[in-house]
Amino acid sequence: MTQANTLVIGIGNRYRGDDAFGCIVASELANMMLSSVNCIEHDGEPAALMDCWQGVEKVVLIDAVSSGAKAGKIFRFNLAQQSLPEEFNLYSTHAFGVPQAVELARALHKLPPQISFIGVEGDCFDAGEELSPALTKAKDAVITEILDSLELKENIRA
Amino acid sequence: MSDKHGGGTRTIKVDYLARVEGEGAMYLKIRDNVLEDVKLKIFEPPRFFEGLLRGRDFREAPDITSRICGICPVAYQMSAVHAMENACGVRVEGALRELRRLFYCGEWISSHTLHVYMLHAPDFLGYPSAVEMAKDHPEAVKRGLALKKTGNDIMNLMGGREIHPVNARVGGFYRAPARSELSGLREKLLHARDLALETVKWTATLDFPEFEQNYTFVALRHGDEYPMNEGRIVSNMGLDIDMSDYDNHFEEQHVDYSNALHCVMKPGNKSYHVGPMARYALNFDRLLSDIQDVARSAGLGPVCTNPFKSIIVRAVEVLYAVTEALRVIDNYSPPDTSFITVEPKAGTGYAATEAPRGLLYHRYTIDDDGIIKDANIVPPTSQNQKMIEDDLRRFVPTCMDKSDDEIQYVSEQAIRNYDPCISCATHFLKLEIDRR
Repeated sequence: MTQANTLVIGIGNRYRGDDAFGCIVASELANMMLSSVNCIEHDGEPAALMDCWQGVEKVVLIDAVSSGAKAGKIFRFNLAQQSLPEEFNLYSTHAFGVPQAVELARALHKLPPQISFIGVEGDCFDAGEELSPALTKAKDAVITEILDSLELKENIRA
Repeated sequence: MSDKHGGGTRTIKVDYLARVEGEGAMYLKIRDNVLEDVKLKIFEPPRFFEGLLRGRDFREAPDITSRICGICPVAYQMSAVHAMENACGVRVEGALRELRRLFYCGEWISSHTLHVYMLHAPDFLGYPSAVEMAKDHPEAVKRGLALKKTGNDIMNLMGGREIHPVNARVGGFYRAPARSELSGLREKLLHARDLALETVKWTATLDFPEFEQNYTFVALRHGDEYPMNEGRIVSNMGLDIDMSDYDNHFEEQHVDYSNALHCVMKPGNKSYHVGPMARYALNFDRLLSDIQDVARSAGLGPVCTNPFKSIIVRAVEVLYAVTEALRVIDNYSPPDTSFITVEPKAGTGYAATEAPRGLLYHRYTIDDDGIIKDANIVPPTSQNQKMIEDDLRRFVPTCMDKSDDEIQYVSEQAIRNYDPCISCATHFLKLEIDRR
């Protein structure tokens, strides 16, 4: 099945521990999905984020979050119907991050028709390139979940 | 506790200031309708960047210091490279100098536009956030986003990415763009120039409180250009010094309620004002005449002394930066090499460049092997901190008859006049009003 107008966006910073979670998931999906789905890594800059999903039918956002929950906990939001909690905005500049980008896009009628968010509670956001064990474990579950949701499992490279 | 507004003690607290970069708070102490104390408390932890630079190679300074701020990394990179080149007795000229200017234009456009549309305009239009403002003013917000994107595009091209760019180095860049790559920005910049012009006109329609101040403005001034990377440090009170003389005229002081140092002007420990209003006041004659005309049409004279009107000045600077970026692109001829080799030389280097929020001073001492022995960084928000408190001391008494909520609202707006960057200052805001 081809999902030409679907975009998976992994948000984060590759060099800040668990903040790399979204980037790693997007990268691994890009390797699995042949060319049927566009998977990109993104630093979360709001204007650029809104720009990159313009005209896209279906968007999946993946990001590490810091809400105080147990590390590795997976949060799911249908952003076409729900807002992201403000506490997911800790690692952004000028208090203007992913939740604001989503809400600004909603206010401007620039939100993709289908847009979901998968967030995983991070454990450590210190400098480094390693995911903590809880997020390494969550990574496979999130990848499987996205593949299932996109009905792409049969297209995965062996 | 407080009576209605007629006297006694009023305690207004803002535990966390919104729409500023970083973590800080404000405390106002009011006794019998007299403002007794103002404190801008910066509780974001200090980050000791100067300490961690010691022992590192001189070529690492631009990449390390750019991590101080996600909004103005180019400023840190530019002050660092210029200071190191100053230490080593090297000047970067020609196309590489022009590319640095283009890089800085990108940051000014991106940072100023974020502040004008997303952080400051909601104050003037009565919205708690840009998201709420976007519902009623969608065209303005779209305009801001498009303009910011153009700045981001320049930073992406010149820096490799828009946040914490990685392409600047001592001596130039790791990679210089091809002419065709810069030409790709031209159409975007032509559109951005229209958007910037509309932005100036739009900011001029906002309502501003009467609050003219007698500021000491401090900024760079260059022989023939609106200052970004180079110039002498000047003030409207007669100061005119080389960057190497900065420490003789300015001093960072510790205050017990803030993790950011307060920078004052010697003698007398006076507050002073850096940023767009200072740059504009000291360099109006360096703007192109058509940009001067646009500023006049927006109601600005050659000097603006009402900090609430800084939003118009920022918009004028965005127009300038877009125009300047176009000039650089149209005249661009790629350099033979993307950098000149800089050999370390024992000594001390000084540089100040104009970050979007104002003068950013770096001083490094290195040894013959290029190892950093000492570093000092003075960001604009440290320099403006005392000025912000002084503004509040003068502004809050003009609204003492207002409710605590209203005082809080206008006080936060007064703070945002400076687009403070707390992350920079700790290398900032909670509001607390103690009224009895």
